[in-house]
Amino acid sequence: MRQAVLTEPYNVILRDVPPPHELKPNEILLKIHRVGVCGSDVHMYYGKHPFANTYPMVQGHEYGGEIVRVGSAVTDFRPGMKATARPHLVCGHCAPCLRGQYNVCQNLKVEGCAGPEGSAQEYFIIPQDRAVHIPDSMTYDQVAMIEPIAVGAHSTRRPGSLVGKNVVVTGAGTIGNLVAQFAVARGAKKVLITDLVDGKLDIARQCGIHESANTGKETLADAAKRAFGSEGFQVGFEAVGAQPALTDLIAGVENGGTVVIIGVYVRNPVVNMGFLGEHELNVVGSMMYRHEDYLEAVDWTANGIIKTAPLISRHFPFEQYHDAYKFIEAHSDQAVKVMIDVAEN
Amino acid sequence: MRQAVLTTPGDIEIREIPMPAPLKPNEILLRIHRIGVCGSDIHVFHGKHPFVTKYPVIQGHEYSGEILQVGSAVTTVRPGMKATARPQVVCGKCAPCLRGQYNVCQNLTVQGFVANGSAQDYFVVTEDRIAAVPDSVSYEQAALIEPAAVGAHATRRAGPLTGKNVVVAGSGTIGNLIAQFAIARGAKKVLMTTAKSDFRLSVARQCGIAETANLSTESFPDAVKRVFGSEGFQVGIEAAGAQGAVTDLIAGVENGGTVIIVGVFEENPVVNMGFLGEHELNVLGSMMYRHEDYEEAVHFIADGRIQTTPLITSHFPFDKYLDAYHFIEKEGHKSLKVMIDVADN
Repeated sequence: MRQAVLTEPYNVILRDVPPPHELKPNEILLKIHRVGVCGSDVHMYYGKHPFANTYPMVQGHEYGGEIVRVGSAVTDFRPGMKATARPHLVCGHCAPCLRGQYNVCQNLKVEGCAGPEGSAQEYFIIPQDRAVHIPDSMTYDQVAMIEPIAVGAHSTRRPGSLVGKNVVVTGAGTIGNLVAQFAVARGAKKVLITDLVDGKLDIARQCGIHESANTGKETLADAAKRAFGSEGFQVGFEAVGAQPALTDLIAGVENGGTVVIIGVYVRNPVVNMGFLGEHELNVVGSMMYRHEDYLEAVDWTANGIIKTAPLISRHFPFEQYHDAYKFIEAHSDQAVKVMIDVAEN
Repeated sequence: MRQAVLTTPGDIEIREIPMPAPLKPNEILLRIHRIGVCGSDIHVFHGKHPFVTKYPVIQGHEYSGEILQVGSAVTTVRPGMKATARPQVVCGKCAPCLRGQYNVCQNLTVQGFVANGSAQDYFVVTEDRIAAVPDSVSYEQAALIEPAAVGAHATRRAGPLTGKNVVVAGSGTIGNLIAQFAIARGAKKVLMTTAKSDFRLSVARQCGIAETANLSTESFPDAVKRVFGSEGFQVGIEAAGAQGAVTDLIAGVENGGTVIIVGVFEENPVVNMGFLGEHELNVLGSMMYRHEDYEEAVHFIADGRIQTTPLITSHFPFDKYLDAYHFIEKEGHKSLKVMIDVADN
């Protein structure tokens, strides 16, 4: 079968590898249809990911496929179904795992990111416990978006209830957009999304996000005043990984408010820590997702609450995997989600 | 009556002023006995407090006194009782006040910083902020209720500490009281660290804080391993206001763990924010206290769970207020809480 390999930074090749091994009882064989290219994949492509820096790497942690075969102990999935799976490999016995917070397992490995290989190949084996059912009504494009949608689901759980709260999301790329859509879906009063690129803000509006601001043209303070009046905002989501966005959210959120950290930082920011202390802010990390987030992502995408079509900028055939990265490099401002069509439909 | 006035950074004058005005119905007149000098008072004395920029200032927010008179509507306390009071003047109308988080009132003023404090013979407080103190508690102990309440509040912010390992970075009065509260709240083990003097660690041990580390002679990871073995620590409390402490706590706390920010930072620290995100850490500010923290501080001091005597390292009479500050400037490494004796007993 064909497999795409990031052999070293800036080089993706296609190669032939033997087909997957015989299934163990709990395993499922997927024929991969779509792989989404993630910002963290691009960091790895540039050799700049803070910890995923081992090469060669078979990438692909956002994907959708069709079940071809199932192992003898698999009861919930049948050949012919659409499916995707969480890419986490967890130890199950560290303290976070034992309390159910396995998304920050002390020994976490992520398929396609650091260590185990991902789904950038024609066939891929997943275990039943990490797989999720997909309704037939969903397209493979949508299925391949379940992973980033689950990031939105998880991060919007982290600050507690959003009902009646005003929310700012910095960054209108795929993750920021999906976080903002989830904030809307979870009952936030108003959601303001910011970016430096108007095209991404247009997409955000197409996805039903209430308010947007280009912070290259309007300060966050002004935009927040325009969007929320004197109410201010109670929750911020930092989905850029940049000093100015973080600084603005910490300075602007209501006293006692929460800032959720989702972005990947190439450079460590300076934090006004005394201010954070004196205003009793909560700055909390959000790491990927747990299984319930995957399930919610599927439900909410299937019933149309979360929109994905406006996010997909471009498709590339599997054999042109490297061209997808070159496209992203050339259009880093405008490209949102780029899909690799491993199979044609 | 006498009043100590910080006229300009570096100078304190004692002056005569008229007695307080007749009491309003909800007011209480205190004869001040003891005032504790706080680290933040020293910041103001040096003209380096982040929010206090206007002089003259009447300091004094850690104090105890005897109730001399009560207004016509006061029902909870009577003349002759010992008491102290919270120094927070709040608006009662902003969103944090309305949800009960008045310690981060959007319009907070604190007596002794912006509003006048208790550095005088007599002081008027309102009934809603008063905390009565049992006769068995000395005026010295009662003057430590304010910093003890900081410890009570900071150790609430992390949620239940029962069964958790806790690191407190900082060995000053606040760090010490936080560590004592962490023990009192059922933490499994508490490690106090300092980058400063062994003197403060010996005071900590007198207060029942068994595990300490001087980071000038032992690395932080080594100390953590020595005290907690393979269990690590789940909660860190930053009471040093220092880059090194922030870095150590964030790098060292268990995945999904919590770091509470109590310290005042003269310089903003750099934070490994991507690490915070990916490990789903919670970095939470803690601002002063609320009334329940004052009440708990009174109870825990009265029943001996919180030890204050080892913390009090020297006394100055009221007329030598300025000498107390000069003493702290010179002998700070060998002193913890310096008391001003406003009345003799």
